[in-house]
Amino acid sequence: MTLDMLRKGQTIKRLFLYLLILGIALTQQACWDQREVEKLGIVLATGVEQASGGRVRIIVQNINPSAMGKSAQGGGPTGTADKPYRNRVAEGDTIFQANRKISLETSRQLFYAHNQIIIISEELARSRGILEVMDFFERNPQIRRTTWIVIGKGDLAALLDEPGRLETTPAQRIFSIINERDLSSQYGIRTLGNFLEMLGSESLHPFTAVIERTANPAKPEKHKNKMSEGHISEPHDILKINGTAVFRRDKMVGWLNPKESRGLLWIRGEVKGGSLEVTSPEEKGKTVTLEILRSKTRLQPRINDGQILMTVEIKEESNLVETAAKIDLTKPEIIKKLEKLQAGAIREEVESALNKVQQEYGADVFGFGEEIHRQYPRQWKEMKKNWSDLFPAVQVEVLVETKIRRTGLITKPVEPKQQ
Amino acid sequence: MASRLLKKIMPKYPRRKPALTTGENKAKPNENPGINTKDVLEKAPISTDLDVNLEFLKKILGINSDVIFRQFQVTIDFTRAAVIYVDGLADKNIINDNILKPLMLEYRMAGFNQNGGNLSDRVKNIGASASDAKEARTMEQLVAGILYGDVALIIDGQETALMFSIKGWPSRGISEPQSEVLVRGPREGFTEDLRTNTTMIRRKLRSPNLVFEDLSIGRVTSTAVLIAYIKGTADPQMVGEVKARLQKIDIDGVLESGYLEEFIEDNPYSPFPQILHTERPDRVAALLLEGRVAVVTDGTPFVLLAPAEFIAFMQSPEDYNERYIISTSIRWLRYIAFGISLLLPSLYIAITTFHQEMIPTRLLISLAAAREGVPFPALVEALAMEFTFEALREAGIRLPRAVGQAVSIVGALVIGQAAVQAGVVSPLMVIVVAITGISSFMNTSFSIALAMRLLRFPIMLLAGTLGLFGVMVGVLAILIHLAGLRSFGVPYLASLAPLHAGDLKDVAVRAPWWAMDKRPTETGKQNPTRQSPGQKPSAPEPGRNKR
Repeated sequence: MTLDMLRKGQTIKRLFLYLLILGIALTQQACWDQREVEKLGIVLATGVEQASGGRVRIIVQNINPSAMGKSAQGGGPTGTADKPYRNRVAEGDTIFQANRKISLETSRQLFYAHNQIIIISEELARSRGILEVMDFFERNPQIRRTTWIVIGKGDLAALLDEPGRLETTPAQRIFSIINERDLSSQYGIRTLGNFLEMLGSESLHPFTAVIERTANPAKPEKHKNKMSEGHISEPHDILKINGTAVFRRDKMVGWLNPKESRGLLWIRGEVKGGSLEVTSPEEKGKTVTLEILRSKTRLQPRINDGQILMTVEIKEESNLVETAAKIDLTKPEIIKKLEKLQAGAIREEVESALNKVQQEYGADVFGFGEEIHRQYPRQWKEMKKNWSDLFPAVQVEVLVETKIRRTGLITKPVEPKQQ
Repeated sequence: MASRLLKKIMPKYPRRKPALTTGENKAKPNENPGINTKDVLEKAPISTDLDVNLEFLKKILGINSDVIFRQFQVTIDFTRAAVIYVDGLADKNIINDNILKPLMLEYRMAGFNQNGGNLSDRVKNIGASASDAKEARTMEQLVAGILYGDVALIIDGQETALMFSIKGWPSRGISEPQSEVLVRGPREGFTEDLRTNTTMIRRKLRSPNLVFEDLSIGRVTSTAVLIAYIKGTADPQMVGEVKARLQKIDIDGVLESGYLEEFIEDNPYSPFPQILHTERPDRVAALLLEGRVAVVTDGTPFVLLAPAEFIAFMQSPEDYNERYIISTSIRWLRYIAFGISLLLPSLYIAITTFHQEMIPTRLLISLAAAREGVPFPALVEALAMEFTFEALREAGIRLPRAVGQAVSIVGALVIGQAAVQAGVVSPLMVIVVAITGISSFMNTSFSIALAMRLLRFPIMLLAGTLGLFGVMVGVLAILIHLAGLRSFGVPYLASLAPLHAGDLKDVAVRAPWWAMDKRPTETGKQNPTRQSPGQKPSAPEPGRNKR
């Protein structure tokens, strides 16, 4: 009996020891990476621009959750009092240094995991190149590779402080605009991951969208009625994505307007929507508008006596959505004609992009080099050494095949019958 | 996990003390005369002298006011006799009409004289007309019978006494089971009366193969315990094991089947139930048909069923009554709720304090807004809220019904409204705790829900210290523990680990009845075929019913 009790006492001692070890292991490591949500300075957008003396200035958009929560609830103090975000700016030799300088002025630790947009100033991109600043974004584990990269025209602080709907931040607004990119397909945009990939490629050069601030045409010159208290009139300026910035290696070399940007997207097979205008086959000067449904692109390179020929095959489908011309859509031949016109319009867009990129910028943003690499791997080994010289000389043949799928609820536009 | 640890620490410590022998029993001082008399009784035969017998019985039972000794004379030869019974346990009307009346008044009519044999046999065969009559040879049998509602008839000059089983005590009527309510299914539930309970099982399984084996457990209570199984379907080894484990029990009283459960389960340190208990006769019948063994205990409506693997606790009897498609979806809902009730608060804590990058941006913002001004870290907040919820739940059960409702209203207001408005807890935490609570109510088995309630807390602590890694550690520890458990030798995760693909028809889905031709592998080894295959119904072929 005594032996049994002794053994029991020992086992209980050992049990306590185990529990003690467990308890210490769980509590004494001090939860080193524990952060409560409300203590985070959630960053939604980061801007990088050039500062004097080769330094960089960063601007981070920090949200103010309580202000956002309140205005979402509808109650509490009126939304005008609390700004839903704060922008913080710091300069430094490197981004990280500037980043830590921000901690001198903010009570919360910056949290980049929800950063949705990186805006790089056009000035920095053109003069200094973005290689140096990219390192931070690539290295930092908090930054996602799905973050959008855009080029900002003008002062970034102004871009990121454009008032809009109260409960949203400019960052969220830009993000939402980008999410709707397929409604227009008029700019090419890259995520951080894509951008870095292109940057590291042996033939490709990166591109991404440009954001700018323009005067708001919706703002009336003069308000007839005075706005009641608390209502905010239309803002002066709006944020707008305008065209595509083209890079040569890490330096921005030029800009494609919306039409040329669409041409770039056609070649890359990234057009998923948007509108196309063609003139009516029967009445000159009247426009027929088509909505792009989907498209597919195939690049087919050929090499003839050192001459590179690239065939771009585009297949597109669209709906007819609006017509100013009187056309009878019950007739298949009209549809055929429209399809042909449509193909012409697409070819025009593609060629405008080709001209500008090949002749002016000389940067292969289309992926021609990659395609040649895939199809002529042996020749490519020679070609890649002077691809930048070869690229402007590539002859491009554009083949477009289009289909009009539907014509909406009516076949014949309404026509006044009275004489 | 704890049991594993304990097992490792105390490998040599005997799990269960060996059954005490009678020798030890004697050595123990015992004030209760009822127990002391056991040894006296065991050796005492029934004397041929009525007076000796009566004196003996009076010494043992006579101090009780509810024991009735009635002396009379069998009228034919005026032999003296006596009936002894406990007032209230035996049915007085039957004693009067079927024992006393024939023996005292109606002898002559029955031609009692012409028959040979001794008086006892003659009384048994011709005299008393009560149906259930046995002969008792020892005082022990006699006393045990009297205390269980039998009537003892002792006749002067006879070596055996007669026992008539005419139990007739007041008991609760059959009512709907409180702890397992079904929408579609039988409404009857077990009562506290053993006989009523066996009747209900017997009525569902009208087969000579349904066997009830008697046991009596409890030094003082001598509680009647029955082992029920279907011969030919239940594994005889399993039946033997259940019986052996029950027979080893030496306890002074068995007031509920839970007492037995703890003595016969395989892993006493586990929080998980390894024996299923139910109030529903239909569930018992269904599980007996699967080849399991039931233990019916007198005095409680809860019948034990063994072996019970994890999946058995997830199956509701209603699954089999409702249409199989719906039952399958509901079963999945239950599995999900099971996971939620174990993990949701921990996941919330882990993600909000360690893995904010996993939360969608908009949710993170509203989360941050909701937590703005909450003074406690998420872990403390969650622990406090869960504690409050569990306290409310327990209070609601224990309090008298009328007060219980008031408590839940106050609780809902306190938790839902006041705490959030005061800024002590965040509204999201209230939602998390509420969903967890609702999910834990979805478990069909209360005992497994209890295990979840308990295990939730250590996992919350792990989540609060180690994040999702901690949650994973907790889940794995539970899984490893579950994989090591056994219920009467059957692996606790049976059908899943070890995998019996054929059994998944009643695990992953609830297959239609015409597709469940085989019994579960682990319990139905003895008799695997449940029904003939190919009974899928279909519409009559076109043209066959043409007029």
